[in-house]
Order: sequence, then structure tokens, then C-alpha cells
Amino acid sequence: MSVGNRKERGHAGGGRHPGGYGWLLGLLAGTAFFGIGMARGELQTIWQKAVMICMECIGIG
Amino acid sequence: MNKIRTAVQIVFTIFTNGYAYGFLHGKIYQGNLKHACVPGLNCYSCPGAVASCPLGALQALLNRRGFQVPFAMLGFFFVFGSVFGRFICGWLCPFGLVQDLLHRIPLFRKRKRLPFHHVLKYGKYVVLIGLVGIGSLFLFGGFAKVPAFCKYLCPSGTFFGALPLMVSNEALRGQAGGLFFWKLGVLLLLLLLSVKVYRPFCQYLCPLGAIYGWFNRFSLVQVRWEKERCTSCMACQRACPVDLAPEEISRSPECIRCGKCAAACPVKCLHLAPNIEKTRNKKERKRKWT
Repeated sequence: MSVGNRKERGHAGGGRHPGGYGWLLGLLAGTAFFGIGMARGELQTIWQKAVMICMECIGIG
Repeated sequence: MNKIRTAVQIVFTIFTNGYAYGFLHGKIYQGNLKHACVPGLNCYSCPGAVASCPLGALQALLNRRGFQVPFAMLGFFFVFGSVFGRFICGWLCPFGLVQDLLHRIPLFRKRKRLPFHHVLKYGKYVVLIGLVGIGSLFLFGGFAKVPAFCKYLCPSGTFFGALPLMVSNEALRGQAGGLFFWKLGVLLLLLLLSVKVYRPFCQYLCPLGAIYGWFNRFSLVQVRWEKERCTSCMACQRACPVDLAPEEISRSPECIRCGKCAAACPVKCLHLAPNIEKTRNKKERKRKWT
């Protein structure tokens, strides 16, 4: 399929193709961010919050 | 398609809230799985929850001393958003399931949207910036920062966390005060509204939907529209629970990828499909030239 045809196929937003490789870039960036977060010990912070009953969540804190 | 979606929603909700011991004894799961988050709005104080809530986790990171970029949750949102977009809202969110089921109750004349939808739909961005972002960074309870969204608004926390815990834990029941009744009021209002309007919390207030909605335009999971086959019968828009026209569906941050448009299309010009056409075309072109 030529580029012209792809434009004519007209996905939403004035006939633009939705994304292309955008999702792959997002996935790679996300994996990198997640790795940095893990290395900084953020998962431990999340775990420490998640294993205690969250008083704010249940409306008494 | 709708039956499959409901089945997926139910199975996923049971699977991620399957800690039966918690429901029986008014306790929560404290194992290692809670290092990870589920993609949908699922309170980690639900007695059955086996993983963490992504918004709760984001706020826990923002509540740290000073300001530190919450890389782990940024990464989480980029990974799940890039792959699924708001497909998560439509297929994997437990609170979305609750609203879907309530909307099926044959009471009232159903509405897809609230009046002033074009203004109200920005409410979720206000909640994201105001409560999840600024609120979690600058609101203090004593000396500690508070997760403002969880504390003042989150109906999932009240429904999946507070109510089951209070039923089975007398000590917690005794501590319910004004804040609890405020949150209970918010929950009841949203549940009642869900019977008439399709997913009011998701459309107008959910910060998770605001985040995933941003990824909708380029996520892997897409609703693809073949314009040249479209007869403009608008069956898709009539079937769409959030009233999107076919040219809006693919990129709109409001589309939850429920697939009702694809099922309703008489000429099958809408498909719930992966966004990999470009890759396939490149391979086809390469094959053609060799």
C-alpha cells in the first residue's frame, strides 16, 4: 500500500494513521523509566504503603 | 463481543481480588505481589486485592519527602498506556465493571452523557492535576503529605476497600467519621448516576482514564476505521456508549475500546485490532522488492 493510499484510508484526526511506532517508543521509554524507578527502590515504597490498610482510602485517615 | 468483555472484566476482577482470607477476617494481603500494580482502579486496601493500585502507588511516591520524580509509576503508565490505552478502562477495571453492571439495570431512560459534557469531560484532568498531582505534593495531614485523591474522592477505595473492611472489622467500623460519610456520599451519588448515565466516574472524574486516554492516539490496541468502506450509516455512533463518531473513535481519549462500534458496523469497517499495519506493510514492501 502506498503512502498516498494510507492517507486516503483516513483514520480519525484528518486521515492520519494512528501512531505507527509510537506505542513501541512508549513501551521502550516506559521500560527504561520503570527500571530507573526499580533501581531507586520505589517498588519498596509502594509495597510499604500497600501492605498497610490505607486509612485515607477507606475514609478514616 | 459485549458478553466476552463482561466475562473478561469479571474474571480479571476476581483474579486480582482473590484473597478470600482477607474478606473473611477483615484483613488485607501483605505478600510480595503488592510490589506490583494492577492496571485498573483497584484499591490496595480491598481485603481481596493481591496487587497495588496504580493511582495509590503514584501518590505514595509523590508523598515522599521533598519532590522526587516517580519513575516507577511513570514507567508503568507508559508501558500499559502504550500497549493498551483505555482498553484497560473498558476491559480490565473493576470499578468500570461495577458501573457497567449498574447501567444495565432497566430503570430510568438511559443517557450516554451528562449535560455540558464538552466542559465536564475535562473534570478528570482537573482531578489528575489538582488532587493526584498538586494535592499529593502539597496537602499535609499533620507532618505527612496525604494521598489527596484517595482521601477525598476515590469511590473505588470506598466500594472495594472501606465497605468490605468495615463489615468484617469492628475496630475500623468504630472509627468512621465525617470523612467516611463524605466518601460514602460520593460513592452513592456515582453509583446512582451510573444507572442512568454511562460510566459517569470514568467519563468525568477518573484520573487514570485521563492518563490512559492520552495514550489512545498511538497505543498498540486500536479501533481501526476503513473510511473507504464506511457508508456513514452511523450505526457505530448509536452503539457507542460514549457517543463517538467513527472518525473520532480511533484517536479520542474518551474511547474505552469496548468494541461495540465494531460489532454494530453492518459493513465491518471498524475493527478492534493491533496498531501494527505499518510494520506489516514495510515487510510486505521488502518482500516485493526482493
